[in-house]
Amino acid sequence: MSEPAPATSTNADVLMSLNDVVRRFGALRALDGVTFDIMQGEMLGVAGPNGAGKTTLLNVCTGVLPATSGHITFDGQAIRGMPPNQCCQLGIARTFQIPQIFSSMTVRENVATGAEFGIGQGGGGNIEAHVSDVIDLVGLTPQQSNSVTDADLLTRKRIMLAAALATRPKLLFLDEPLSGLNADEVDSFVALFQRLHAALDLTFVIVEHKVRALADLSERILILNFGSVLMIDTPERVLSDERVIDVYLGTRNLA
Amino acid sequence: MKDQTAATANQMTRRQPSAFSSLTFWAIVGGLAVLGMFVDDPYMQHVLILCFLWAIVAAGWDLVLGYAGIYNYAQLVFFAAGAYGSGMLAAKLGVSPIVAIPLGGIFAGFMGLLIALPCLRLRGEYIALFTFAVHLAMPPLILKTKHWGTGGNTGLLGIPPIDLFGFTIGPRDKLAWFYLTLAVASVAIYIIYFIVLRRRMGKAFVALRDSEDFARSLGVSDFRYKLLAFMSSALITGLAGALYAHYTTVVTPKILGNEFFLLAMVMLAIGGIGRFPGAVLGAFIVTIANELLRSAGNMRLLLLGLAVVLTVLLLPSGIVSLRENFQRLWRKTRAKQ
Repeated sequence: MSEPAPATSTNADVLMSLNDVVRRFGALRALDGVTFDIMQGEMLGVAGPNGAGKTTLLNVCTGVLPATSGHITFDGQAIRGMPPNQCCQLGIARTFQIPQIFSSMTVRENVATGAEFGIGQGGGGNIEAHVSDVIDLVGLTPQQSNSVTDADLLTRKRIMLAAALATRPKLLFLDEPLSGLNADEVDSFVALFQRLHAALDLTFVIVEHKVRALADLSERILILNFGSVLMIDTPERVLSDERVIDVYLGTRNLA
Repeated sequence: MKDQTAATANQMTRRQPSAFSSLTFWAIVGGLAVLGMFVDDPYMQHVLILCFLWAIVAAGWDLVLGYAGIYNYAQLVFFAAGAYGSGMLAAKLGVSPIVAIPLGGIFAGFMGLLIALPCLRLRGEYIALFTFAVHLAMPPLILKTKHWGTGGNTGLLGIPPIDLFGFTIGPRDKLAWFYLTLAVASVAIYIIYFIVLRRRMGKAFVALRDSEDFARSLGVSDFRYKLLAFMSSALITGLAGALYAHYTTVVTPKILGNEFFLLAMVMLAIGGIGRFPGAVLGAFIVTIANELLRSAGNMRLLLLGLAVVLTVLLLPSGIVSLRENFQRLWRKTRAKQ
């Protein structure tokens, strides 16, 4: 199972490492030689204009899409080509941009699915307690026995997040978790992520268009443009960088 | 106030899975067993035996189509695989039917594996096209392999009756067949709905059906559980086919004909898929209706078709949803009082 860790991830602080990762769709290089590390325990924001390859990056990191070439290691283990369910069992969880949900189950059953099939699946009689903890943490306790069919967008996002947390991940990817939310809801979600980050020994990667909220949340922000890393740095430096402003607002000279 | 609504919601969802407790199930099986002692008309016994066999097929199909959400239309291929497998082992190689019947089921399970593997690379409606093509390819295959002993168009004749501890259960021993098929059907249905679907495997099936991407992201292996759904469904359906072969002593390619296929579809449509006891109820209703309509001749299929149109229009989720509709109405009227 475990291959010897390549030189790039010998650093104990690196949780996931991408090295020259390429993903092609026909002639399009959706990811064109992406190289960066995700550090243990950090909150990493990923932003970039539409079509920059953000969702592709997330899909490649979670096993949904295989990378065309390059190396991806997680916890020192090569994961390129692994299906998403195996990635999950290594400790990589994710949420989806369009909320996914098991529509014939209750809220609790949705979350319990993550607990039952995630890391340490099935083993130990404390699954129920673990599910209750996660439901409580995400703030779903009052609704936990409800059917999910009439849950609103915010609740659906909470359920999806809780199910992902229930798999006991080490690394959690969030795909546009704030899209479709109003300002108050964004604030409550940002607070929720901060609470989760403080409470759990968990690394976050957040793909998000709402750059302000992303800057509040993240310790570092990665800007993706045309499938390549434009820059990766602290929010202050990224948001004041001329190249980033150009990418988002167009070249100033043209204005 | 909040606690109260949570509590009632809790009761509602709790009631759903246990809507049909295993106690109720075995009570009904017991009732049917008692009924067997009073039915002495061989034709009536025959119809009930067919009901039990079809109930197994419908339940097996419901497992893969209704719960796992895989559009498999090759279910009768598994029935035929069990029937031909067991029939040929017993008629051509002299294997005792007691051994041949389980082997027929295992052969069908193996067919399930063969058909499932290409399906893992396909999605949704393409699985329906592929599996239906497999279904259509079977009768010519049986004709072409006549020299292997399939019997070709005339059918596989002379399938020996079951011989149990020196006790021979021939096709005319309807009462013995009644109890044998009742026992196998009730155990098969119990295993499907009360064991497999309520454990881990069943949760994985439903999760993959509801949202495959979400399920995979939570660690559910689509590969493993789709194979398991196909194989367990095929094995159980194959057992029904094997029993059918030894009951009728003849298997012809007709079991893969349009009529059988339509009947099985109608059972699921009328009964309702993915909710116990829909499919099983559908098997009983359609088998009995089909016999009652024998005198209608050519009109029979038309009338069955009409029944499907009416259920689809009036009760899109099948006859099982009647009960839920009544419950909802009942709660509403009680709430008003």
